[in-house]
Amino acid sequence: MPREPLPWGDLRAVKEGRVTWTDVRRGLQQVAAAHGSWAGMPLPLADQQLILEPKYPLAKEVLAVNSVFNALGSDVQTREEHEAREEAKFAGWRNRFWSFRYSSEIIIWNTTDGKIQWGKVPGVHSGTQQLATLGCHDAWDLATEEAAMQTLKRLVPPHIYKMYVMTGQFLETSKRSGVTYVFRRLRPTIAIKADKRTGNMRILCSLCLHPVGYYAGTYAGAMVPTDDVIAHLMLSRGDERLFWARANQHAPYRPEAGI
Amino acid sequence: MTDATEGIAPGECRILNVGAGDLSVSFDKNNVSETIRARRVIKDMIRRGFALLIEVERDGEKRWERAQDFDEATDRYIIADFDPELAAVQDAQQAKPRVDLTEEYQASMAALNDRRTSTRMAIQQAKESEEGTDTDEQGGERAEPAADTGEKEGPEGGAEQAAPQRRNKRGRPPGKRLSGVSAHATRAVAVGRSAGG
Repeated sequence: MPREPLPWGDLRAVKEGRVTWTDVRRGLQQVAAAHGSWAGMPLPLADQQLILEPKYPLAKEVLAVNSVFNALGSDVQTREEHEAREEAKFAGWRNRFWSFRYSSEIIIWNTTDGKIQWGKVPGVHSGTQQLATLGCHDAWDLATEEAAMQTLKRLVPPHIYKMYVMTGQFLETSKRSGVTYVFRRLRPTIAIKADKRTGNMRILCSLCLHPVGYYAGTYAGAMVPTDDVIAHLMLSRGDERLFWARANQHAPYRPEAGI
Repeated sequence: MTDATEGIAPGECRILNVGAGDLSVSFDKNNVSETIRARRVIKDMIRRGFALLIEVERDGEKRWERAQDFDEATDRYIIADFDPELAAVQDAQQAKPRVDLTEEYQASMAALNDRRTSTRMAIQQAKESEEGTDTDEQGGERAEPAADTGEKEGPEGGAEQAAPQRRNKRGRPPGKRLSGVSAHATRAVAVGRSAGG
């Protein structure tokens, strides 16, 4: 059966008989199409923890794929399993809060021997998340990203599309709420609004939302970056309340906000 | 199901997909099988909790709104038939400002004080006239406050004011008002359930 021409190293891999990430993605899409999963099937990656949305219908199939990558160290969990596993390491959470003094998140927990322990999760910058995001590029396909960019091109004015191509982000203000959204590639969407007293623009929060799933500790979602941007854009236009309800709202000083 | 790379055409629903690029289903009157498949896919996506954003036109302006449901019999997206911005403006116009409530309160308190004053004066006059008059007037005078209570009126002009239209918390009129938008002429984008981030 003739294959479609593959770019660069993938063609060499096919000639040498090696399986590539592209082959795996195509196989997963065939599985998703057979099961009627319209959003597709995310790809588990080695050394990345994939968090799925709680009601994803193909969670078992993704776990089956994950078993193939067990030797590579990939990890797939539903959100409940992820939270349960984190909680199982401790005897129980006591408290966690942000410390402006240390620019870190302070976590306090009980141990099984009855003692109380605490630790700091540094949050001075988002360098860790940014570097981890680089490792997720194997989850995406260039052709898929190009197709998503074409979709975005038809949803925004030409100068906005140019702004996105050149800078990786663009602005749009909601007529309903007056909130200005900064949609960014591979970063949470920033919500900005003018202060009533001073009139100066201030950051409300960062909205992080990934359809289907995302890779923990990164800014990467299961979809290509521009599809995540389209999801944010369409939800903000069509149902802003739902957008804010479904997204995780990060304070601007937290590294998860990506500011 | 077509794999389109161009813009979203009228009658087309673009589904954001994880790995294969954005998939499309279309309501094409010339392609019955594709239309039947589109109905099944749209209905299934709504059942699974997908957010279906469709382009509608209100007052000559195109905007995106979320479809609440899909009518397979008529191929129509069901949307909420109210404009959130207009509802907010109407709510603001119908809501009573705080200064009006203050004036009503002050007016009612002034009327109460007037009644108290008149009653006090009547009692005083009755006491002064007790020296040379009957006590029946005092009893008659005492009945006044009770009569005033029974005839208590609301704020000035309150009875003439028409009751404002009852609205629920979201500013919509009572009852669910939904309307349908033809899927054959509407562009749509479907976004799956999210896992946060």
